[in-house]
Amino acid sequence: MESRKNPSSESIRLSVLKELRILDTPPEQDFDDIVTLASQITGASIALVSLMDTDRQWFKAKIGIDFCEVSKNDSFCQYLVREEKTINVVDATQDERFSNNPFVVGPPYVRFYTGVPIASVDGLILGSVCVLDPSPIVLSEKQVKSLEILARQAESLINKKSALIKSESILSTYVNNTLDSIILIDLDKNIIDCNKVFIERVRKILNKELIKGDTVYNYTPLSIHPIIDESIQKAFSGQEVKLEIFIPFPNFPNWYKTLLIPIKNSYEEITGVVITLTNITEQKEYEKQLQSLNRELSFHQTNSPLAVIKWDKGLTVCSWSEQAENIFGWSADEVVGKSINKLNMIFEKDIESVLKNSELMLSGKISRLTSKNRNYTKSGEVIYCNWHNSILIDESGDIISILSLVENITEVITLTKDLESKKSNYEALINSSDEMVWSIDDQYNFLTLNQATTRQSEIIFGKKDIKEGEQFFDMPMPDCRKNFFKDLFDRVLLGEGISTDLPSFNVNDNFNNLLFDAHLNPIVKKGKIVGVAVSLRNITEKRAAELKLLESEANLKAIFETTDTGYILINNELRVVAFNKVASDISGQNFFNADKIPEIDTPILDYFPEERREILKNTMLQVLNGRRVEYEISFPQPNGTTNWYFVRLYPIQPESKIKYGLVMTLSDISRQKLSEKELEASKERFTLAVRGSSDGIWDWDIARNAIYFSPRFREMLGFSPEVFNEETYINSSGFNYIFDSTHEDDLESLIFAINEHFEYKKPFQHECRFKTKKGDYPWFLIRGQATWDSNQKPVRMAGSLTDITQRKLAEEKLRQSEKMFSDLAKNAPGVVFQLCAEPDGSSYFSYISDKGKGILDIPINDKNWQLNNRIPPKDIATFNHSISKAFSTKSDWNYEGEIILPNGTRMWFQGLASPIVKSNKLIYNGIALDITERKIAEEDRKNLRKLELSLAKEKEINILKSRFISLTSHEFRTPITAIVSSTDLLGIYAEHIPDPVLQQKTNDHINKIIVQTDRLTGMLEDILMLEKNVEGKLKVTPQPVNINKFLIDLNNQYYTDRRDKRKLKMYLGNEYREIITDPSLLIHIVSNLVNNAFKYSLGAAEPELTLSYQPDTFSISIKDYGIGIPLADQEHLFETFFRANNVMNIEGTGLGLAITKEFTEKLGGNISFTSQQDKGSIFVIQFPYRI
Amino acid sequence: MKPKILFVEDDIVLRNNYVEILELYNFTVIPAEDGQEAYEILQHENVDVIVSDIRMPRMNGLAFLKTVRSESKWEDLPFILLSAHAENVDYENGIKSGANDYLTKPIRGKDLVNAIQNVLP
Repeated sequence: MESRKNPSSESIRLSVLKELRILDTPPEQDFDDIVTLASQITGASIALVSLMDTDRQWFKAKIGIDFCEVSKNDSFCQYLVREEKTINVVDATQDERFSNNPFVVGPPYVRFYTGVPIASVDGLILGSVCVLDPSPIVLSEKQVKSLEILARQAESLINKKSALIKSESILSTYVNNTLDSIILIDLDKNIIDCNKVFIERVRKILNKELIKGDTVYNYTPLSIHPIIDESIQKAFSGQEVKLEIFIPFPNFPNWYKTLLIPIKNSYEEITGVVITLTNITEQKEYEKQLQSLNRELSFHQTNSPLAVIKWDKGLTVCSWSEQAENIFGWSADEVVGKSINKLNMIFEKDIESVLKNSELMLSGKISRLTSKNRNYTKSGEVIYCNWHNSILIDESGDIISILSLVENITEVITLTKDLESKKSNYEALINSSDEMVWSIDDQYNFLTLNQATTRQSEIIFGKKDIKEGEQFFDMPMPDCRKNFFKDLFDRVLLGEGISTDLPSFNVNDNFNNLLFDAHLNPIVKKGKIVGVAVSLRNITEKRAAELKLLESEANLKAIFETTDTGYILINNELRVVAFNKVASDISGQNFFNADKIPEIDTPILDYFPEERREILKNTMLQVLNGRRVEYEISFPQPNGTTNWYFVRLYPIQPESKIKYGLVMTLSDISRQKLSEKELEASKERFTLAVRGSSDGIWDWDIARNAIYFSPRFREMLGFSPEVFNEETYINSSGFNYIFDSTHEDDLESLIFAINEHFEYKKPFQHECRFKTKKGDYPWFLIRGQATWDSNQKPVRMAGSLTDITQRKLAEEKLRQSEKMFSDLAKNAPGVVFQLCAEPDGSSYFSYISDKGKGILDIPINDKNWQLNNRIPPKDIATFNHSISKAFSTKSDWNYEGEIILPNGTRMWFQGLASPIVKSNKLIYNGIALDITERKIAEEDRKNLRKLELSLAKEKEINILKSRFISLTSHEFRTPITAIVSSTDLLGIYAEHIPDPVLQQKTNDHINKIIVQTDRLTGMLEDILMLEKNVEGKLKVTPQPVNINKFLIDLNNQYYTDRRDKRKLKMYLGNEYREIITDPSLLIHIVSNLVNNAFKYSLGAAEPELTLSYQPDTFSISIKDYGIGIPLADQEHLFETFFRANNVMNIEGTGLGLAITKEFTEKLGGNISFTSQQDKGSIFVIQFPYRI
Repeated sequence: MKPKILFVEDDIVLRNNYVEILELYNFTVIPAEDGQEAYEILQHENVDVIVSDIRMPRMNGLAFLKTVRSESKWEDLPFILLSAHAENVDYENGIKSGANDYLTKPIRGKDLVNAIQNVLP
């Protein structure tokens, strides 16, 4: 304890140890391996990886002991913490540090101890790797080294863990304290983990609990799944993905900055993705606002030659661009917040008009105004400026400010004036100069000399009065001049044509003060060069002037090149005198015809398309006469944008009567236009643009009498937007352009309408026909609104043009169809009507054809007539429903029903009507037709159909019944057979009953069973037979029958062996006739009748059978003397299952006679009988000889 | 020698009853459930008369009759058909196929014995 470090260092050590979070953790293989190795290397039975806690030594790994910690005071390793080095004790009893240690004096009686410290990254001793043994062990150096290696191994294991834990704790601190949502997903895109923020977001936004393991798609709107999918896939491929995404959560639509980082395991395999979502909605909002603010003024503030000044409604400066400072001298700080009145920048004489214009704009009467004003700069200088003013409108349409774009045009005006004066001087000089023309022959003798030459010969040749024929080289000229000319002459005599300046020769004559240009050409006669023609022009003055001009031009150029405006100087012959780079650039781009770039001294008109030249020439000539012309012109570009230019044509020296020339300036105002467009976007929403692009727009500056037509306007009148002539802008006739195109029948009313608008401010909206380029006159709707100045004089009028040809056509069609309708209505059968449905659901007949009125007996012009009164009460609900249904769905009405006619009779009618919507009313046009006959026919058909149906049904039931009967009569046979055979066996066994009485009684019952089963079988057969007949399955197979033999066989077979011994008396006669019939049916018929005769005459005389022949038939009559048939029952005798009321005690099915009658008829015969109760019956069957 | 009868009937009650009746009338009776079994019996038993039901599973009476008649050694073997159908068509079909008699159920024991004795050689 004495050498113990200060407590603070111990507390640091402990805190480091605690941070490791290793204490009391489960065993780990890595550490277990270390102790195993330590034990094996040293041969010690105990080996430990231990950590020194506050008051205990805890074993992370151990071998050779069972407990996992010891008190610190009892520990060997406490000394390591103090001594910070390996301690090697061979025999603890010999070491004072350990000799009293309880583990030395008591079990396990430790003798040997070696401990190697484990340190933290900061060098603090955390614990040890140690080995102990009950026997003393001497370790070799190698063994100690190995132990130390193992300790380092343990150290690095612990410290690695520590680093991991530290970074994890930092991470978790971040993860749980950030405002971002952090989500960890696996390769199946399921959420493995996420931070609290995300859980709370899910709760708040989606109103549900996050479930770990759910797919991430469950927490995102469907619409963004594709982008999520794409991003995650990218992350899966190893990329970090950053994106800004708009997630349209219901009620919480937000922008998120999203970061996806793939996570990799130690094998560099991607195992998932961490997604971080940062809500940047506010930031986005801010950016958006900023952008829109920036957009508003962006073009002005950068690189614009125009100054931008924004005024509030009180005409106080709100913003002041750099260019404004350049032009006016004041900086933004000096002027912003100041009222226009205090600025002292407006020329006194202009103040009034400026204020008036501002007032007009702020009142909303004018949205745009361009004016040219004189202004003062800060230094008091007067400058000329062009002011382009527009109003700015906020979202709700209120004017919030005026925006002024200002251009300094002082230089232009000044320069123009300068140029004019220089130009006029030089022109004068040129006009006053003379030309000398002379020639020589091939011997250098003068051939010809004109007067000017003669007059000035001394100047050139040094001699007065030269005559033709004199030798050129005899002239008293300096030799150098002679040589110069000789050289020229010789070249020309060889065929060359030469233009050159004469050099100024430095000799003592006057010549060197003058400048000449020379043109030398060969004189050719009969193909031979015979001399040289020379013309000399004194260009001394011209040169001087040109030099001066060049000088001024240089100045001009310097200025020109600093502006963004293109300048072209044009002389009074309309030829190009000068231009700056901007002009050539513009022309190169798109301004002039083709790709020509202007060249000096070429006609300006050459650069314009031929078809425009005439008009432009006239315009320019007017400018030369002192007019000023300005217009804007647009050039659509291949990339879809439009270049706009502001073109001015100003005369040079407008006050003078001399036409010096003109200046053409070209300003690129595309950006301004763009900006103006943007600025006006909101305004246009409320005005003309509302009608969309289908309308043409016109804007008539009444003061200037210039009119602007939108491309659509021109297109509507047949000019495609591309080939519009800019001249139309400056059409001096203004609105006359429209008047000229107006159809002569509409002109007067159009003029009247405009005048009404101007004079009385009546709304201007007029339909008329205008001539298009094609020469036709489609219908248009022209609308407009003028603005008036304080004197109530209209100054401007703008409006739209709508093509209403289609509407007019439709109107015409409507008129025609209305006519057709009325014609039809007049002639149509039934009731033609028009029914108006009011919005409240009620309806009335707005029209009923005369014929209809006649049918329905409606008083003419009874508007309140209702059909309901004529509908039978039982149908009213259905009828009303059909109408309200048609009304509510705006669908066709189709109703069939009865109507009560005025005379009280009923008529079936069908009402058919189709809806149209006309001025918000629903109108049904329709017809009601008498369909009584059809209804009757339909009713008949319906009944017939019903009958057919019931017949079919009955047939179906019959078939079922037949099947049932057929099946049962067959199926019943098996059990009956079982009964019969068992009864037979009983009969046989009864013979062995010894008691004769009992035997007799048994036999009686057996007989009863036999009789009853026979009866049952007979009934089954009868039913089957009858059913077969009903079903039509009974086939008649005719064949020749010997009727006598047939009857004798029948008798022999059935009636010769009767129990009551009675016989059938047969009276067959001697005649024999061939008969063709079906014997199998006949046998049924006859036997049935004979059976009956026996059955119903028990105890009476024998029945008799008589065969007789008639001419076409033969008959068999069977007579009995039995009980007879009661009169009342006779008429039902042949009905199925009928039995007479006196036979109830005699067995029978009631089928026999029915079958007999059926079969008889089948064989083409008939059956009849006579009977008397208690006397007997005679049945007679009669058949044809041949069926 | 008692005449040997092959009695073919699928209904067990009927089969047992008629076998009992016929034995009481002093015949030797070999019962069979259907045509198939009867045909197999015929392979190793000589019989004097065959009495067979018509409607039976596996091989019905008519098919059995035809099979029997298709072999020359049995072309004269007496064959009586028993049927629940009492119609001419069935009767004719049976006779055409080579049956010696055609009896309709229910049949009295005495009547069956008469029919058998009629066809015995």
